[in-house]
Amino acid sequence: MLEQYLNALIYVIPGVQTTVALAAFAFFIGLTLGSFLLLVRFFLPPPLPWLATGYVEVFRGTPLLVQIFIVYFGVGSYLKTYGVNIDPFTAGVIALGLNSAAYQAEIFRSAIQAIPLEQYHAAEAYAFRKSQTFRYIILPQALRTALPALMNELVLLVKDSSLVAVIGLFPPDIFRRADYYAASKFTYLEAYLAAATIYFVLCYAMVAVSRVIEQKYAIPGYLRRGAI
Amino acid sequence: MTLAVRGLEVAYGSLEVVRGVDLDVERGEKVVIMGPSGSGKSTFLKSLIWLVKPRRGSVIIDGVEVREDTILQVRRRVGFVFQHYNLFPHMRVVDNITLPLVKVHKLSKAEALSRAREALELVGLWDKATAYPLQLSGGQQQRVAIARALAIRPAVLMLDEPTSALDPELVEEVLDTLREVARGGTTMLIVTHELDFARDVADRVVFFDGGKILEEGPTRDVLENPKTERLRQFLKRIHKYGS
Repeated sequence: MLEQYLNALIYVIPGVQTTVALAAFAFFIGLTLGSFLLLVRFFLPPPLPWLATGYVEVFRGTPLLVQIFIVYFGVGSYLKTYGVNIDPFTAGVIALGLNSAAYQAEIFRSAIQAIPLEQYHAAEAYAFRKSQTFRYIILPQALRTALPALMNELVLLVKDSSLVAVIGLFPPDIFRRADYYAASKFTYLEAYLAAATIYFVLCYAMVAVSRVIEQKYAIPGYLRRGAI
Repeated sequence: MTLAVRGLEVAYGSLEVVRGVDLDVERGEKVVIMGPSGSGKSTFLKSLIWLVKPRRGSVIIDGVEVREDTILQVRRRVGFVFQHYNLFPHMRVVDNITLPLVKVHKLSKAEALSRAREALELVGLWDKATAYPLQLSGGQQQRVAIARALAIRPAVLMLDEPTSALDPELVEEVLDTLREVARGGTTMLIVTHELDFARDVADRVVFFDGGKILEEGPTRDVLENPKTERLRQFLKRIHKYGS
């Protein structure tokens, strides 16, 4: 059994490349679109902020798997009639990215709302314009607050990227390679345990890195309540 | 006249907090505002530069009437010190002071730095220039906040209960700093309950009650011979619980 597990591990590892690429591209789309949604919510006149909030609620309120299917099979087949083909990887990146944008917009919103009113008052009293207040006072503090949640979002993306395997991925990701291995050798437990192991190592490493980054950018003198 | 307020009214929704206040402050004058909690003195001070927007009335600061199109200009002439210091925690002490100078007052970095140094030396904290606000004691943070306000060379320095959030043993260092500032001739408008301090620096005391000025006059007159029963009781109470 151990031998089967180790063999499965060796077979599945190359899938890391696709998994990481999926998560990284999706995170980047989410970051870009999420920031955009945030700016719309904070700076633009109604009804635009409501539309941004609607976007967030729709993507939070529907299952990721359904979103992946809508993008790949739904929109994908529609585009096919116009001669545009989207492969599963692209569809996966888009679906994960659109979904992550909703969550990242929420992360930014709550990070900004966590900044005390006093900071705005100080900025106003010293005649900063709204854009200056945002850039020099609110954003630098909000990013620090958002950092743990953003890193967590990246971890979630790495794990959720396994859902894309359902629509068939090439080159295969961690989960799809595990699937191949399991089906060809009939060693389901070993194969999926190998996949789980690799996801865990990836995610654990990311959490460790995120702790280092958080400490590096922590506001000096700021005492965290309850040492964790 | 550095400050002229006429018929100022401020309300939070249907709650009227400031109900028709007139006040003049001459250049170089130090005016202390006192009053029971909830009397509207803090809101009054904030409303002068529209941190809370007044509902009615006019405010002229350093010759400029506060309006939508002049508010930034007016704020550039006012130094404001908050009860909870409101320093920017993600910036070093020195950057807290130079940021408004560079971004709002358009000074060069070198000029801003020399002003920051001057201000920090006045409050005795130049040696903390590269520290971060949360690494300092409350008293030190408030002195930095005072330096930040002075560095813009304000026409009027407004202080909203600058010692109320401090531990008792830190109050004196801030008051001493303010006494030092007062000697420099800056026009000051101070909300405080520190009677000894008021006696030392204030030319005039204004007593707020129920959103209005109940009594005002030269410091000694107001503190030694209060005309109203309300002020008499108020002074008795803060004597009893104060230092």
